[in-house]
Amino acid sequence: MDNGITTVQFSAVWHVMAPEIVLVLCGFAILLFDLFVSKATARRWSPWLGVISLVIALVMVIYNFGVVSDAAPGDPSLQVSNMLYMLDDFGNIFKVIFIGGTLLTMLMSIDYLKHNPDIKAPEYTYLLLFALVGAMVMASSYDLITLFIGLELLSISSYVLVAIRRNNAKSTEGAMKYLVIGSIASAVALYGMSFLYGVTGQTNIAIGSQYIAQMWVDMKPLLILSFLLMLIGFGVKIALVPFHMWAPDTYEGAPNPITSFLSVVSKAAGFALILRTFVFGFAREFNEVSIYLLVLAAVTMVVGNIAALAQRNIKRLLAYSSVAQAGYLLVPLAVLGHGSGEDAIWLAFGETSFYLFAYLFMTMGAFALLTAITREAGNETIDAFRGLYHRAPFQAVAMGIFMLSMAGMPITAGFFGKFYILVGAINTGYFWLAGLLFLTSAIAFYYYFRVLKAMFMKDSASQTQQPLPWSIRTVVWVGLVGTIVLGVLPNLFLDVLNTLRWFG
Amino acid sequence: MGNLLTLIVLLPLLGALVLLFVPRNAQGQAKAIALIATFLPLIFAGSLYAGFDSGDQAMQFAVNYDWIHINHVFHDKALDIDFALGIDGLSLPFLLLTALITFLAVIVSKKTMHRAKEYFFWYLLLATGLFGCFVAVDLFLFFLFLELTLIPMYFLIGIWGGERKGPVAVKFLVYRGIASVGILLAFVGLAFAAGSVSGDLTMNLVSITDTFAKATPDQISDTFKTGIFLVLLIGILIEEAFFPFHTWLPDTHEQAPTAISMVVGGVLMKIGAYILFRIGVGILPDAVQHYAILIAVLGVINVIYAALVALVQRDWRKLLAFSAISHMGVVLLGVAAMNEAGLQGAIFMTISSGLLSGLLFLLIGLVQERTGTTMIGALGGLSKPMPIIAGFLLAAALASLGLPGMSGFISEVMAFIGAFKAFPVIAAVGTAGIVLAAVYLLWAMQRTTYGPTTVDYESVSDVRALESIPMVVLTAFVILIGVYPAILGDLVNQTILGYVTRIGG
Repeated sequence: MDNGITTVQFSAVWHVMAPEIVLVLCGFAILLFDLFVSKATARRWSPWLGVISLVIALVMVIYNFGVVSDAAPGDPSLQVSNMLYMLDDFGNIFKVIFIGGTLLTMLMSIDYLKHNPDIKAPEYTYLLLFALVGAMVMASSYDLITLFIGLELLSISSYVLVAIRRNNAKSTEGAMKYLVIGSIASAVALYGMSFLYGVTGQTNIAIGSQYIAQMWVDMKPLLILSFLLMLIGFGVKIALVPFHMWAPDTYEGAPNPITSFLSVVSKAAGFALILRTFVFGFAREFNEVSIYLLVLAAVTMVVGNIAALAQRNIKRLLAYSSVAQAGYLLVPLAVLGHGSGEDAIWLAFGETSFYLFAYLFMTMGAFALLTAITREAGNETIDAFRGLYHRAPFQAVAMGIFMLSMAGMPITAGFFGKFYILVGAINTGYFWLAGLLFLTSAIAFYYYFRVLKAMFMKDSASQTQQPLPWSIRTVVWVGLVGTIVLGVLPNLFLDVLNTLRWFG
Repeated sequence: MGNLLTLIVLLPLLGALVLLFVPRNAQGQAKAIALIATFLPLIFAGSLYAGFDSGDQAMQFAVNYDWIHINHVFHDKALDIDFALGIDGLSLPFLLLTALITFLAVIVSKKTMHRAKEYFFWYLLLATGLFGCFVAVDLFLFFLFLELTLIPMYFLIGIWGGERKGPVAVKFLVYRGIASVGILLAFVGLAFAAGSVSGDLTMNLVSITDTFAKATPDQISDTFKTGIFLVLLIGILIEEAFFPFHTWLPDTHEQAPTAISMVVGGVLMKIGAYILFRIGVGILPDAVQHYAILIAVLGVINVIYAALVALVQRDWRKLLAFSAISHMGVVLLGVAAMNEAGLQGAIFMTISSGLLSGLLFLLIGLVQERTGTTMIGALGGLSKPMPIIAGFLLAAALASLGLPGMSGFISEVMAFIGAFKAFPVIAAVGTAGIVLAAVYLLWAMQRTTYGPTTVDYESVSDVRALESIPMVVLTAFVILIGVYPAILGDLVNQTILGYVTRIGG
């Protein structure tokens, strides 16, 4: 390997990271826009600038699928500076999730900002864009330093976004917890990375993985320690049990759109990071470390679902539900074993991306509705949904479909997503984990159906409900169409996954 | 003709979708749509019966559309999931039972109830799931339909149920949700095992059954078969509300409205038995035989225990629920015997119990509507004000306790003949259940229909013309199977022969 310094042309960088560059520039443009126009104008237009930049970035990422499929395998133009930054379909598919999630968050925010004048709209918008760029970096690099920078960019922007309602005690409390625990997690992950560097002499995982294999016998305790420290650090970010304690408080305190951003984009970014580092770094020794993932996945599914049973606050309920979903999402990775071959890896990636898309649609739709409904009810408990069906049938039915999808009921995306994960688990012989996945889902019926019960079986105090603002309605429709189409015709998406060249 | 099967499954769904466009207060229209959407499947099921070749063991009227391919599973093979429907001698009786009961239950559903439109919407969705279970040839599709029954049932109990509807609806949901875990695991496990032998990974029931029939013990080990069957069996035990997982069923029957109780007792509770026949006996006969003693003992425990509990029930609906559990215990006994008589008895018992549960819950519903109660102690002397209902109740109770000439008798006789051949002692203990059934049913009958009539009930009316249709039709089928069992026997014979040859060979 030639690690010498080479001149990097801007055109080469642009070729690989154009969407990120555009988003960063747009972020700064909004920052400047805020300085040069009147407050009211900035307030009114900056979310729109955000939406426009996201749409541009989304189109560029979709275009990049074509670039990857046209390139020859191992084409050097798809990477910057010796795998420091990659353009591949693994990154692309995750970027679609990130940008799609942020776009829906932004749409929700248009309405949210209107009702919360104390939040500075431009600040909110560019922080969201920077957080997104952080997530995109996490999905596109093999280099530990770059990955860590992406992680921090996402985290730090998120801390601020959670705390953005400065006068709200819950918001501040949630942000404080998130900041403290998140920073410790970053430090722990970095500590783990430092061991990896110590053993391999490389910050690049793809190159380092062969050294990991070579050193495995001699340095095993150190390498496993490094793996565990990274797992803990990343585990906090995706809220795996027992590192999930921050999630309910932070989710509850954050503005609703930010909560949905945390639970979709931030979580998906964590998974991208985990998949890229662990599947590559520890590819050959995966058998010996996968036990930790198996245990974490099992514990997360059980604890997440059981803790959710007791929640009355709908945001806390969804927080625990999202903890449980992280457990489901960890299953495909955890069941990857030694010698399971490339096909098993593609299968695991397919499962993860399918479920993340399903999760994106149902979570975004649910949070959009929740934003409108809890605001009107004036409280965030399940009681806010009482008799919703009688007041606003469409809202109740849509929320019902999102809940059914999260519970994994048939002909929704959530059902097929779980079935897909189950197939993968049984493929590698993990019947018990597959069983636990569906068993905990059956327990989860209890709390998801409680929302349905409140909406359809209770009478409401008020008789009227405001119609949904158009931006919220757009998000709900996107969520509904996605949830149902992926559930009824999963092959529309599976076929796309099948044509992907995950790693160039 | 295959399209008729698709229509049978999709018509109720279509009806449900049409209902969405009916105004909320148009209750008459809603009921009319529900009637049409369940009557047409009944007609179609009847014409399938007429065109059915009972000498053929294969799936008939089959339809198959490609649906889902999951790539990269299992050494780069795709897992194929198809929209595949078909019926054979085993599924046809269940299909007919479903078509009959779902239609009759619409007739007795009151269009005047509150939120009638939604009621019929959920009801039709439930019917779709039930039809789908019995005609699906793809295991994924089967499971999908099975799960699809959960959501409508939750709402049907939760909105239109009795005073404890909320908790009972959740209990129903969680119990059956957990049951489906075992069933799903077994389904997918079977598909993978079959795929590893045949090289063709599919969820198709027929090809999985064929592969298992041909596979040598080296290819699919006995340990795997017994293990997977155990998982399946646990699922079935919960699904069928067998002791010790039975508590949700009496609650459900107690809280559900009459029509839903009919469907639950008549059809929904037969899905587990159908899975036991179809997957247990059909795909894993060695495993069933391996656990024969266990299944037989479980069967007897259910026969006796449920009968004893039925003895002390004060509510008719709970009594009938326990009576149904007791009868389904006989099914386990017949299956455990794994011989021709036993299997035939088990299938007969399942169908017979379906018809009788439907009939009995209907009659008790009619009584409740008139007297306002189903508590046995509060009733009495009903034969005077409502002689027809009381008469039919007596007939149904007698059929249920096994009076010759009715469907219950022939079923019990065959199941016990089969069981006596295989395990005389266990079967002998089981016969005590027949005696107990006579005791609890006749005792309850006596307290309900005879004796002095309570003043409040002196002026209650007897059955109305519309309500008498389901009553008469169901009773007619009970008697028809009793006096001419070949009408059912001919259908299932080929399937049972197929099973028995495999066990012998």
